[in-house]
Amino acid sequence: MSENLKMQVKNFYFYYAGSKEPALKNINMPIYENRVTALIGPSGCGKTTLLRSFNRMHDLYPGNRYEGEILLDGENILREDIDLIDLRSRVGMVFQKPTPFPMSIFDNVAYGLKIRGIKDKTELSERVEKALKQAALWDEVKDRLNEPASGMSGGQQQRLVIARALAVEPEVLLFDEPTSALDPISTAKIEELVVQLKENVTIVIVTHNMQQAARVSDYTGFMYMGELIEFDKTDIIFTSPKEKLTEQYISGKFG
Amino acid sequence: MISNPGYVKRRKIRGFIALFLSTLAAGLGLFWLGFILFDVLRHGLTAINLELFLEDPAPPGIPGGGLRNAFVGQILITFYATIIGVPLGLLAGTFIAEYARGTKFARVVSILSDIMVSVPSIVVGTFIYAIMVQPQGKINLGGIFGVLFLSIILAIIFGSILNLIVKKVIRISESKAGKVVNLFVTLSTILFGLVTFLILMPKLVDRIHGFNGWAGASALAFIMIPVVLRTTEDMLTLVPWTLREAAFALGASYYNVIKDIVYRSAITGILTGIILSISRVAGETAPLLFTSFNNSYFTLNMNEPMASLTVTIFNYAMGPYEDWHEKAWAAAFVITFFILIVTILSRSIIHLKYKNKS
Amino acid sequence: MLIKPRLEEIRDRLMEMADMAAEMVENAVEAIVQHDPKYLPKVDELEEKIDKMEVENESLIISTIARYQPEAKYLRILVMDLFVNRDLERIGDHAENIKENAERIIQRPKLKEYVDLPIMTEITLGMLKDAIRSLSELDTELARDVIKRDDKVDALQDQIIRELYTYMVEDPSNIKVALRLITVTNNLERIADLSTNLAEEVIYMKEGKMLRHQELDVEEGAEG
Repeated sequence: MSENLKMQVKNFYFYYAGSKEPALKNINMPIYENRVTALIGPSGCGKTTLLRSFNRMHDLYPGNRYEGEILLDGENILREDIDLIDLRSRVGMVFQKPTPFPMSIFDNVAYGLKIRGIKDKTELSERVEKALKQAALWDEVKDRLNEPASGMSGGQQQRLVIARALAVEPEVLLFDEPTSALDPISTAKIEELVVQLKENVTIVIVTHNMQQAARVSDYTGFMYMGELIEFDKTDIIFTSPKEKLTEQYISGKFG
Repeated sequence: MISNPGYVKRRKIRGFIALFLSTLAAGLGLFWLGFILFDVLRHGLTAINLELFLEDPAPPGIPGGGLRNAFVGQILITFYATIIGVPLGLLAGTFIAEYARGTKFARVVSILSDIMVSVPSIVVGTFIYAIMVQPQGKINLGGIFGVLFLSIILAIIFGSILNLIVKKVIRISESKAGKVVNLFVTLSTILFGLVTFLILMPKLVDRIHGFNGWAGASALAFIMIPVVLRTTEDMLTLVPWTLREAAFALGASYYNVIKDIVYRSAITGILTGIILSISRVAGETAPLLFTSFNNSYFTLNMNEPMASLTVTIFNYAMGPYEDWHEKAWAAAFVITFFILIVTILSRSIIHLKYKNKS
Repeated sequence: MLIKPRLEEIRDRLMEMADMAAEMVENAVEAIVQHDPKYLPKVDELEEKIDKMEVENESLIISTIARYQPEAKYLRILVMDLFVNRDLERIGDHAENIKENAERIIQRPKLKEYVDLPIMTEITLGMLKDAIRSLSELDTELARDVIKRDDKVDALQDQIIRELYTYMVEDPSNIKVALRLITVTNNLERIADLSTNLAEEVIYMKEGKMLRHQELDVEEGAEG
């Protein structure tokens, strides 16, 4: 199993607007291509903050500051002149709560393509179908593509959002606690989906559910108080972590 | 634990009294509403006829004739008020809720709008009178303000279209190139407005003087703007922030996010706000008294004094002739039920929307 | 279920290991029966592989338990996989032992034409292979059959040892080879025992029934 580096975080610091204390301190970690990397840690440890740095979501709020480097295929995405729209089509994101847009199922999936200027009907419907199939949703919705997305169940909505992100064919897909608003069955479906998807995309997932990280990921990073305490293969993190803090967290002593 | 039966009894009596009083108060309010509606209905229905809509008023004291001038004037004034007030209110509300979200400036504007909503409408009327109607020596302030409003509206329309075209042609991002394009659109819009103002100024300025329809429409627009602004702001704020983030994460620009996601989510609320603001100003008399004044003759020229239903009702109801009173009843009937229907309609749209959601 | 591919991976690795163990036993005994050392290098080669694999499998199984937190059937399978892993490695050790003795035995002339030893080997190997097959197919009927065959191996071992006594009494110079042959039968007997263990583990995986230290007929009697 050869591992190719997709992203790399180097000496990364992050400061929220108006704060002198960094929210993330000296993070260094690799993200391997076609692997699932999970970030775990107690709430407030900075795992979501780190995840949102990968597609520069923090830029939506003025005053936030990055330091260090995050490389995507060797290119530093923290550079001033990076095209955020381009970056965000290479690095997609799925959020905690399902966020279907107020439009039909088809239009939801096609949205990312439409804002990129793709108008050709056949191309749109082909790519929508492909994305919905990848998200294991096609069979459930193929007969009601023109119905509003708000009529779907929570789990379906979350898979719709995944399909929407997949439609623009991202290289990396970020998941921010994607199942925390879902029931166990929908959660299991999403987890299986995540594992299937790594054939096509590199995945980074933040989860407060340690077992979820254990089930779906190939690599796991344990974060605590804004620092990356340990990063290793998931098999190792969950059986023989090197750091005492990781061991304590994994065995439920805190967090 | 209930140990004291006397206490329970007292509590029940108190509850009963409170219930009785509030029911009484509600009933009283409803009674007067019903009474007014019934009275308007009773008098209005007997006076209403086809001539009312098709004929102009007969000379005082002579029976017959209609209120065609007032109906058409009312429609024209309200229409232009909507044309002026809604885009301004909508765009300002969008600015406050989106681009300036959370800033001090947004809060100040928001509070000012709240104050403006509750300003008595006669104050707005006298304000417009002061700047657009009242003769100011040699300077025709009315004409200047009229042209100014017109130029602003034209510039907004121009800017929106330019924005649409530019963003269709170029794929806009939020990086430096996007900022340059935005600046370009803004500057050309301002430039366009200035040029329009300078070109129109000499041509139009002297057409408008004294009481005129534009002044009436402007007064009503003044009342509409804060109403539309606040509803727009509230409705946009209600759209969950995560929805915007989801669109940003797909690589959408803020422009796309507002146009495709935010407006779409809030469309029902915004439309309802607009309809409510129209029905709000459609019943106003005071702002028109000093601005569009009245006109016994039929006119489509907004530069002249213009009749409106509300002012006509006011005049006719005060007038000495029985015939006038009847016409006032009929006009009151039309306008009351117009507003009633519009209000009920817009409320039921909201209701339907939320019903569909659940 | 996300755990399934992992279970399959473990199962595949165990089957590979089982095949290697069987091959080791086969080669080691074949060297004695054929009186030919050419079979021996293979045993060493496989021994090394099996040892490495045992360690890898163990951490794979442990991390699977840690990561997927299996319950009921999956937990039984994984815990038994752990036992199977160890049992197979031990079978490999015994095969290695046979091989070491075989080296010495071959150095001397053949004591006799072996009659019972090939039979014992055949039965033991049959048990091992059937145990492996019952594991791969989770066939508890076959597993029960394997357990029953254990007695035959014990009987054959007694038979072989008795025969070897006569050779030793006949000519003390035979003692060296005979003792080594006895050790070999001991190893074979242990392999048969471990195959029985494997069969018992298969039954526990599938049915959740512990058969250890308990005769099969006791189980049958309890059921009847």
